[in-house]
Amino acid sequence: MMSDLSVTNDQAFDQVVVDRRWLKWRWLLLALAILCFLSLMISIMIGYHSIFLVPSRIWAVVSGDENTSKLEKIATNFRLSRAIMAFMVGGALAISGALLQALYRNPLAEPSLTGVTQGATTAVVVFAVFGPTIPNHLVIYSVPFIAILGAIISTTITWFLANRVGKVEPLRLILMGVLVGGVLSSATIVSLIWAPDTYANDLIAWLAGSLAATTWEDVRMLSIALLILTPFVFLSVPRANLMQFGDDIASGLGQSINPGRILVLFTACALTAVAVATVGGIGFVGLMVPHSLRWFVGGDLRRLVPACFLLGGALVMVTDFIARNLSSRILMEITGLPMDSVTLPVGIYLSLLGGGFFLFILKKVKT
Amino acid sequence: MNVSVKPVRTAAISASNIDASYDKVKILKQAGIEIEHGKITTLIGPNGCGKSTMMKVFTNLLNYQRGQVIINGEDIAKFTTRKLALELSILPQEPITPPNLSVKDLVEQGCYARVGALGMLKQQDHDGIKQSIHKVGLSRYINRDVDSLSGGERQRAWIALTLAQNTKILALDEPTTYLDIGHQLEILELIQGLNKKDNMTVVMILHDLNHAAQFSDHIVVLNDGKVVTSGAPWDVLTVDLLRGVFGVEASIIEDPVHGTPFIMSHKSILNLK
Repeated sequence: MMSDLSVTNDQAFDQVVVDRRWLKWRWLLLALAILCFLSLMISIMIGYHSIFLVPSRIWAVVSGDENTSKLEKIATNFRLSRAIMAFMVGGALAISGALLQALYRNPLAEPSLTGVTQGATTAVVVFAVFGPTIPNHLVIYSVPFIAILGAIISTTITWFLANRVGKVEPLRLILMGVLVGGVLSSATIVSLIWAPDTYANDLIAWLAGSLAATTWEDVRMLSIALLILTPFVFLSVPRANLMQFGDDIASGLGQSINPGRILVLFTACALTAVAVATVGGIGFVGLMVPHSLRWFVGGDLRRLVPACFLLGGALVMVTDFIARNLSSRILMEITGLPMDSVTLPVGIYLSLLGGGFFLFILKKVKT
Repeated sequence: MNVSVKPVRTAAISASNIDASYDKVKILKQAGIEIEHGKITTLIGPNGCGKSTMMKVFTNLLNYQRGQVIINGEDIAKFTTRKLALELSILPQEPITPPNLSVKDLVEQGCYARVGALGMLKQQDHDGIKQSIHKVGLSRYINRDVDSLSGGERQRAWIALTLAQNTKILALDEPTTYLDIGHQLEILELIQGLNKKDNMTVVMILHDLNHAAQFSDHIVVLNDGKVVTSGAPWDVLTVDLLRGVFGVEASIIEDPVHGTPFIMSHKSILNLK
C-alpha cells in the first residue's frame, strides 16, 4: 500500500525529521526533575522554629546515622514526609486534571470544577459523621475507598446531567459540575452541623486542604494507592489521547468508546480521591499544571502526563513550603486580622493562585 | 423507485434493508447500498436524506434497527471496534482538532488499532507515519500544530491520520466542506490518487454534484431515507433526477476535459414540489 512515493514532490521527506516536541520534552523532564529535587531540599532545609538543616545533616538522618540529635530527626522526618506527600498529591491531581480535560474535551475541566473533588470530600465527611465507627488503625486505609466511591458517584451524576441526546457539551458540563459541586458542599456543611465538636474542627481543617498533619503512614498509604493506580494511568493515556478527537474518530481508530471512557474516568476520579482522602480539598492544581505545560510539550498525553506529575508535585511542594514558612506577621499586615502564630493551609494558597489562573484562561479563551 | 440490493459477498461494503434512527427520528427506511472494491463511490442526496446516517451505519458509528451490513464478506456485528479499524478508516465531517497537537502527534494515533493501547505509549516512529504524512504533502509541517494550519492543510493532516491506519477502505463524510474551490479539488485529487495508486476503496459523501460526477466511479443517490438509484455518473445524473430529488431545473452537458457529466443548475423548483 505504501508505494510510489516518487510522484509527490515533497522535498522535506528525505530530510531526517527531528521530532522537536519529544526532544524538548526530554529536556523539560530533566529540568522538572531538578526543580523537584531542589524544592524537596529547600522544603527539608528550612522550616519551623528556624531549624536550618544542611544537606549533610539531612543525609545523616535519612541514612540512619546514630550521630544525630533528636531535634534533627524530628525536623527531618516531619519535613520530609510532608514534602513527599505534597509531591504525590500534586502529581496525582495534575494527572487527574490532564485526563479529565482530554475526556471532556474541555481545557477547563478540572477535578474541583467537575464535581470530582466535592464528591470525594462529601463522601468522607458524610461517612465520618453518619457512618459506622471503624477501628482507628483502619481509618487511614478505608478513607480512600470512600473518597473514590464519592468521586465516582458525583462524576456520574454530573455526566448524566450534562448529557443531552448522547452528547456532553463542554460548557454544560462545567455548569453541571459547578452545580453538583455546590450542592455537595452544602451537604458537607449540613453534615458538619451534626458532627460532634470533638472532630468537627478536624474535618473543617481537612476540608481546607492541609498537609500539616502528614504522617509517614499517610505517605505509605498514598504511595501504595498511586502504585496501584499507575497501570491504570498507563492504560488511560493512549485512550484519553484518542478521546480528544471526539467519539466518532476515536471509534474509527479502533477504540471502544464506553469501556475506554469508564477506564479514564475511573482513573481520574481515583487519582483525585486518594489525594483528597489524605490532604482534603486541594483545588486548581489539575487546571494550572496541564494548562501551563500544554503550550510547551503539546497536547499529546504521552508527553503531557509525565510532565504533569513532576510539575504538579513541584507546585504543591513549593506552595506548601511557602504556606508553612510565610510569617504570620506578614499575613497580619496583609489581612489586618489578628493572625498571630497562624499558618494557613496550602489549599488556601492554591485556590488563590488557581482563581487568578482561571481568570487568565477565561480571558485568553475569549479572544 | 426503491432499489433493494441483495448482499453480495465480494463487495467491500454491502448494506441491505437498513432501518436506522437518529435522535429517535427514523432516518433510513429499508435502504441498501453496495461499495465495490477498488472504486470510488459517492453518496449524494439533498439535506436530511440520510447520507451521513448511512455512512455512520456501515462504519459502525450508529446502531441500526434492522438490516445487515457486511464488510469484506463478514457481518459488521462480528467485528470488534478494533478489528473494524483495521479494515476501514473513517474521516467524519468537521473533526475536532485538539489544541497543541503536532501533525506527527495526530498521525501517530492512526496506529492505535494495530499496536494496541499499550503499544501507543512507545513513540510510534514507523515509516508508515512518515509516508502517510508524505503522501498528503505535509512533510514540511510535520512538527507544526494542526490547529495552526490552514483549512486545506488541516484536512490533509486528517487524511494522513486515516492513511496511517493502513486500511483498504476509506470512508469520508464531506471531506471538502469549508474549503475553497482550489483546496476542494486538491483534496479530491489526493483521494483519487489514493484510489488509483494504492488501489484504496473510497466511499465519500459530497454535496457538489459536479465533483461527484468528476471523481466517482459509482454514484449512489439517497432521498428521504431510501436509495433512489445508483450507478455510473452518466447513468445516474439525469435532468429528471435533479428535478425529482434535488428540486432543481438543470441541464447536463459533457465536461470537455474529463468527459464526465457537468450539471448547470438554473432554478430552484423546491416550492413547486
